[in-house]
Amino acid sequence: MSLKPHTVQKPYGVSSVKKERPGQNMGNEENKVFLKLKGIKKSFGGVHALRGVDLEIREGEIHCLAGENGCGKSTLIKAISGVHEPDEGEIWINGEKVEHMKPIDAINRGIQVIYQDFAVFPNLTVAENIALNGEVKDRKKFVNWKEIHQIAERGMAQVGAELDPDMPLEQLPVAGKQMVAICRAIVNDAKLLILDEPTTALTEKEVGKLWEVLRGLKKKGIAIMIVNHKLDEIYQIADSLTILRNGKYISSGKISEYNDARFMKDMTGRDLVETKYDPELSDEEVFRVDHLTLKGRFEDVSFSMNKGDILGLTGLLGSGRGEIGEALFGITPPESGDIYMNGKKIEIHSVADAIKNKIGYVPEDRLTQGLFMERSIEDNTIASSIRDYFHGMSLNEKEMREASERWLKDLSIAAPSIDPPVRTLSGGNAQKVVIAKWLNTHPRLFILNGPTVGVDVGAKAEIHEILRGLAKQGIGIIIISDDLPELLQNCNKIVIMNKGKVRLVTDNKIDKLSL
Amino acid sequence: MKKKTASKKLNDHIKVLMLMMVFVLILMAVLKGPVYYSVNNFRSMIFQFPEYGVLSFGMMVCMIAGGIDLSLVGIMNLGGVVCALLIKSAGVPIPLACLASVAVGAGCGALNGLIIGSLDIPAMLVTLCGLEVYSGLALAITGGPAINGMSDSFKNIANGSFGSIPYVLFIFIGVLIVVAFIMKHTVFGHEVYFLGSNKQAARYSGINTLRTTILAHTMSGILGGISGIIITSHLNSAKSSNGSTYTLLSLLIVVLGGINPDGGGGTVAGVTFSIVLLQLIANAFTIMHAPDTLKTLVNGCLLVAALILDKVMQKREMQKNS
Repeated sequence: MSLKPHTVQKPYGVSSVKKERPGQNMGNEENKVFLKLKGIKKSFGGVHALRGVDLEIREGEIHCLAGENGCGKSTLIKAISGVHEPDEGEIWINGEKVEHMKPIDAINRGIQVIYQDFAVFPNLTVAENIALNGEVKDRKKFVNWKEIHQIAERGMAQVGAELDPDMPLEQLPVAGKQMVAICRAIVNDAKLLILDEPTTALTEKEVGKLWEVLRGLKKKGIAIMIVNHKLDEIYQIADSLTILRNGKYISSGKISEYNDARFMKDMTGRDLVETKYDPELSDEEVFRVDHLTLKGRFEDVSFSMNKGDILGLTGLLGSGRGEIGEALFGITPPESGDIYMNGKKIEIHSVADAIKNKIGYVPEDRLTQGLFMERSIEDNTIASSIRDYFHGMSLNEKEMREASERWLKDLSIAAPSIDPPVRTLSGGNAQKVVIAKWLNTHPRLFILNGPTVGVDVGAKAEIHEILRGLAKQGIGIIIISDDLPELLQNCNKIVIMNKGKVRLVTDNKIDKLSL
Repeated sequence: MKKKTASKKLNDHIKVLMLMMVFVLILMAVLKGPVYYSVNNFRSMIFQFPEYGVLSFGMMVCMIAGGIDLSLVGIMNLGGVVCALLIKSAGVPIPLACLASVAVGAGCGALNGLIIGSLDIPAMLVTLCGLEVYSGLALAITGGPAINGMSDSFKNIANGSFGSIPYVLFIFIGVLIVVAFIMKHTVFGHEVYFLGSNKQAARYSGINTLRTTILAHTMSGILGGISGIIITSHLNSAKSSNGSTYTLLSLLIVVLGGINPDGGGGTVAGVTFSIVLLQLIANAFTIMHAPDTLKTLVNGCLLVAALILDKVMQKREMQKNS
């Protein structure tokens, strides 16, 4: 039912427009509906990425699209921007039904997407980045530099961005690059601006500035859709909200119709309190750091964890949360401070030291730091423990296969065997392979930086379950995350960082306001 | 069912190579049967391929590690010159002189690896400079003219045979076995694959990337030193410009043999088949008295075809998976 052949007679790729009004019952708002989706379905192979999604975005409205990772948000964006054609469903733009939409059709209708990587050119200047797209689109043969500057200045004025037009983009911070991308979208006559998780790499102050800019654009009548799943940010900026889960439309409405409980329930499909981690308390210390310092990253960090503890390490980006993980794993070793494992003092100056002391680390960026995408599941599983299989003269292949097959089963990694390359696995299963790699080294301390980023709902719960099981066995677990609900749910101790310093150590009775 | 998926792609590639070999063999049987299928012809082939075959394994190791070794020919000639000089001028015993060649190769390789690994300069640049430096050093040592006329027993290494089987075949098979064992059955071999497929992930998995880079290039250098002995003995002459076509030839061999130019993939078996295939083709050209210029063209076309074929197969597999 997914790959329904198109019976339309028109040549493929030509978009056709029918002059029809969408449902009359929508006329009770003062703002005009710009984009309307009805029953969008899309599947890839056998995977149903979208199973019937409705969405409505009005001019001059900031609409938030929320949902856990893997809920189909990115597929939906691609459907709106013409990258993927839906298998079923209708797309209405500005009251016109659009069929067989290609990316260029979406752009011509004013739909501009700002992806997480911004798709900017780092070696070109701010002005070039803002204006060159239009020059190319208009099929100009020669570049008029004066015009480029004028266009760029106009774009920046409209958005309210203050940037040096001649500065090469690579010298700008992330927030600056984002501004350039927004300016470019505005210069290209954006009527609907879609931002894919725009705040992930921003500091608190930069987020504030971004909201200011977006509110300005909203007043100009531009429709804005933000993909986000951080509750506090949604409350700050959004006028209305649509929640997806597992490719399905769950709910939609004004932001005032939501509260924390309904939001979490709609996002995850379950109640948060139900599954809170509550270990038996123990006096046996597993791991402790005293006055850990790495200049410029974090300072005077102390915390300790007992048997059964899962410790959450959080704070805003740049607070030093990730840096502590990298330091304890020896990637950027700490300069001073003491580290104790099971009561014994250990030294960490390199990754080799960390591994010798049985510390495992799941890095933040799974794709570039955690996995060998082209290698098999087996190779990835034994990558950190391969020395254990070298007996006498050569590697014992049978043992390596057996170990890998055991993890495949124990962590219920969804793969036909241990042989396919990791590239073929979904985010959740790939992350389980990274976890298996470290479990195969029998760690005593297991640090996970953003363990469930890009992981679907089901696998996320499974990973949490695995971590709880490990903690009960007495393995120290540290979860570094900015996903507060995740920490509240799984950690019985939370360390909150701010500007490189520990601001608060709590036994998980905080609410989101103290962050 | 169990082992199929992993070995499947490898088999696909080797199947193509074998098919090409069969094609060449049948074609030659039809065109020049009696001459091609003579003991003498096969002997002459065997005398030729070990020197660049051993070199290709060096290229292979570096490419699997995510780099490249363009300095191999320079290392080969520097090793050969040192070896020849020690025998001729200093009267050093042959085994010791050969060992010196290998040691020179190991040193050059280690230097390459150290620069690449510690300063993070692309291997292509470092080894290209290496080629100039090592060739230049060989030229400086000889002062220009070749070192000729070593002892007959040295000449015998690459020109003598045991019955009708040339000694160099044993050297080649010995190198093949050692290289295959290292790549498949040692921790280092696996680490080379890990390093080549994702350097950052290798670091985050606790693999000492600097050490692995140095060792991979040292191994390549040692293989360069060994082929330096073979080529010097073969020509009974050492100079800085011997085998200058081997850099590109060894690149052609490893890529045709299925080594992933981005690193992290490919097998010793594939490279071995590729070495033999190219020798069969080269020999076919000689027998047919075809002009050398045509050989370059055919080699070039083969390489492009191999690259395209690989990408097409990769794409097909990706589509099947998604």
